[in-house]
Amino acid sequence: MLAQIVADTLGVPYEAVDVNAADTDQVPDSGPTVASRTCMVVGRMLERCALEMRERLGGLSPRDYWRKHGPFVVTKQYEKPPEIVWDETTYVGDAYGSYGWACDVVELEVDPQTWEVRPVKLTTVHEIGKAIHPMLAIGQIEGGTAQGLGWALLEDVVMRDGRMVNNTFTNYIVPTTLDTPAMDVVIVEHPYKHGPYGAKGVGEMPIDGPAPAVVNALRHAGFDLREIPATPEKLMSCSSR
Amino acid sequence: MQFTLNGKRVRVDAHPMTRLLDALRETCGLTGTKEGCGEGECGACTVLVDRVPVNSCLVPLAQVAGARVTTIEGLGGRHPLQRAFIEHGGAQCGICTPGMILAAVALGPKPSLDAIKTGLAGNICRCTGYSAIYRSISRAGADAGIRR
Repeated sequence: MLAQIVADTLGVPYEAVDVNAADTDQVPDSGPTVASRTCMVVGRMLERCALEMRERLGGLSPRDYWRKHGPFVVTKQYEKPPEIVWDETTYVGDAYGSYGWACDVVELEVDPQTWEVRPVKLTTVHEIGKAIHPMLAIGQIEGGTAQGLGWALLEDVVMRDGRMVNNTFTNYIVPTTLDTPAMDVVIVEHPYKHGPYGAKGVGEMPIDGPAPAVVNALRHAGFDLREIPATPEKLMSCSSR
Repeated sequence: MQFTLNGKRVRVDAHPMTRLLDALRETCGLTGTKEGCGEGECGACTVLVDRVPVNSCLVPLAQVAGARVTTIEGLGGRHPLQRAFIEHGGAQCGICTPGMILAAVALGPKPSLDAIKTGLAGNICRCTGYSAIYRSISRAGADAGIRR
């Protein structure tokens, strides 16, 4: 994704861009790992670097420029968009400029004998500004959604004396092919002016929606569920309340 | 122990109760086969033994004497399924991918979606939500007959 932004902006093949392995000894502190903002923040800085680089190349290919003038380095720093108000000393204001938005709709079947819940179909809509690599963005959404469904229905962490006691795939159940429904993924692109090519973030977002959608669907079916995962035991007890 | 590994006769000197997984990775140096759970639940270590997918973490080396074992290396890197997984996003972190591809090889050419779902039910993927894996296998079948 980051190499693709640089390659597209420079007009060079993707293979011509190398990405350094990130090492905190070499790079400045960019704050916490939060808000799935790498594409929006780092991607935008790289886009600005590549734009300046393209200008300095002045129409020459990188190879020709190197032969004539030798190598050069472009460095850019994050620039806070002017409309964002943030006080670095009091930590008051908008910490993040923009977010992606998403919506999930899930259809379920509940077996009245076994209390098993089967998700039949799921529609998930994500507004991410711009999908830099649509195939990977869809893959991220499908994967996160499957994890969210696992959280909603199957994945029960049982702790005892500070340890997880069901730490095997035999008793900590993650969704398999047969537990994962058909997914209808929709990407909405409403460009954000401070993101690269209008992109915001998608990373963590897909895991957030499925569990609330599942709980709402179960409430719609008459289950007063107050806790996930919605295992058969929990559904059985809340149906008798 | 003698068997056929990716089309070649091999002789592996290891304890007969060595896990096939360890014999492949450590004795034969074929690290394409991945260890996930090590208890036969996740399918990451899937290889084909006489064309049947097995969890190589559960198979003692003695059991493959005289058999034909196929690992991901045996597909040569240009198999239609390998190319389709790259082209259609069937691989993300990659740990389940060798097992997924070998389980898909065992399904034969042009499997139905139901056959894919059932055939891969023993292979867990945490990244993709499986959809891109189904697309990869379906397109590989459409692009070229799947070789076994």
